[in-house]
Amino acid sequence: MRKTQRLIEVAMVLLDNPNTRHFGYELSKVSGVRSGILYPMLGRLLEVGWLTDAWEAERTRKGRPPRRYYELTDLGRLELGAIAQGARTAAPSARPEAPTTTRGLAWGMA
Amino acid sequence: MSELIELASTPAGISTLLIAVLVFGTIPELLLQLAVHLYPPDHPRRQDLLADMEDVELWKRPFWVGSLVVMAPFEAFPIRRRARRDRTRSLEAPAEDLFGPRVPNDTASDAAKAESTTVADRGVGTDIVTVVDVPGAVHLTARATLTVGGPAPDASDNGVTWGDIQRDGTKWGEVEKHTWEDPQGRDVDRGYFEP
Repeated sequence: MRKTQRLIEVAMVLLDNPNTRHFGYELSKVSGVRSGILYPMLGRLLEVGWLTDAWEAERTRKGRPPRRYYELTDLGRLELGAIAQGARTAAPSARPEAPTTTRGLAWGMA
Repeated sequence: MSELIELASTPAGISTLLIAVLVFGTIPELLLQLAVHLYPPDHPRRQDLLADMEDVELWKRPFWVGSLVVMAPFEAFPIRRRARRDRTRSLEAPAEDLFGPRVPNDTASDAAKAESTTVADRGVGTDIVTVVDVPGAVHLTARATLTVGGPAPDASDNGVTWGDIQRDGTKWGEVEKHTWEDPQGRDVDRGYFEP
């Protein structure tokens, strides 16, 4: 898995709540990563086994199509944790303290 | 409010409103529907993107969809190409590879279901399943044709034997069909190989 700034941003969001499941748009919104980059990345993370996916249950759907949820696996927690840690060590200022959402919203791409 | 209504009722106002509806409503939805059709019919990305769009704020939709429309061909075509390659390969594979291990009944674990083979996925159709022999292969030396009887899958057909696999002219194994609903409410139709 190629270590990109986008991957680091998504990793940070996933690791903020490692036991929570996220859906694509939520990840895109919080991390500020564009949809066109995020979804293929999620596909690759699933392929390497760092994420697992599951469909939303019928009872929580509220009339819309079921969401696809993504959750970190144990392996993902280790690998993405190492990537995030590496990024923090290499450039402590690389990740702004403020949520990166601001940037994505500013460009209208979240 | 009355000023807004007045503004919207002028020709320029009406056309602006119409353009806004198109740009933020109809066009993104239409484009996304087209984009998801680039993926193979059973690919989860289709449902994934359509469901997520429901959560995207109206004003963000053109940008969100625009980014996806640019990305979709680059992701979808390799997936389709890979699926086509796998299909060709599967038609040349021994029966054990075409159909997963038999799952005893419909209460099979999700893991076991995931390991089994979706016949339709492999592109061998839902009517006729043909297992082609591979010259020199030790697994299957005779051509076997499995005929799937009956109309569309039905839960009541669970456990029905689809057909026999012949080896050297004698029955060597059979394929059982099991059907259940996937999370999107579609019937999933799978065959299990039973030697």
